[in-house]
Amino acid sequence: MKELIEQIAKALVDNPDQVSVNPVEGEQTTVLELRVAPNDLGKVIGKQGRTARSIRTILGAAGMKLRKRFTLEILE
Amino acid sequence: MRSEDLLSLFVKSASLKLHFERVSTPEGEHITFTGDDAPILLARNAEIMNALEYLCNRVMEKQGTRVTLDCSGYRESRAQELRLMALKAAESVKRLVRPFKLNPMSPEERRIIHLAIADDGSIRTESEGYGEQRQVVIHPK
Repeated sequence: MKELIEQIAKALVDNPDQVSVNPVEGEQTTVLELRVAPNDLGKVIGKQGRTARSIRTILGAAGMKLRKRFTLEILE
Repeated sequence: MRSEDLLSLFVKSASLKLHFERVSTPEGEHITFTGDDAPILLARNAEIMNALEYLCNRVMEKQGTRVTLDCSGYRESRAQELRLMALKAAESVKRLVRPFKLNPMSPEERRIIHLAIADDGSIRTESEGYGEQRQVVIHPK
């Protein structure tokens, strides 16, 4: 799952070398902490947050079969 | 990353039983899904397929390529449903001479609504609200 988010984020931003994803595993939920260059924040959030919302939607779908919950946190 | 890479990685990460085929046309790429897990893509007005389509477009826009995703004829049947909703709502606006607000929809779906009743001279349409909550309102002229 880390790979999925990392690859998508790298494709969205202008500075792919500054993308990092840190998975924090909880009991039921894994939080994926996404860090990007400050000037790329808008790229991963999108207009009215639509890009971030789409990433969260597909993360929800990706966890269904695995019976796991994944959430995305975008860190500055 | 191209749209196929994004979709393959998603299907693999999610362990979904899905396959897709890509066709390139002058207007862009059309990708069609098949497989046992198709209903997952189409649940809740194709929430997941629409999110994937949006992300594919963000990823491909640098190359100027438009991407559309489809599965089990969903796009056409949804468009028909939306056109029917538009016509029924327009009828009620004319009968009651009162505005009618449709549910919030994506830009793509709102466009279908606007176009479906654009030729009707006795009503007009506009969108109001922001982001996810933006919705078409049909007004009597």
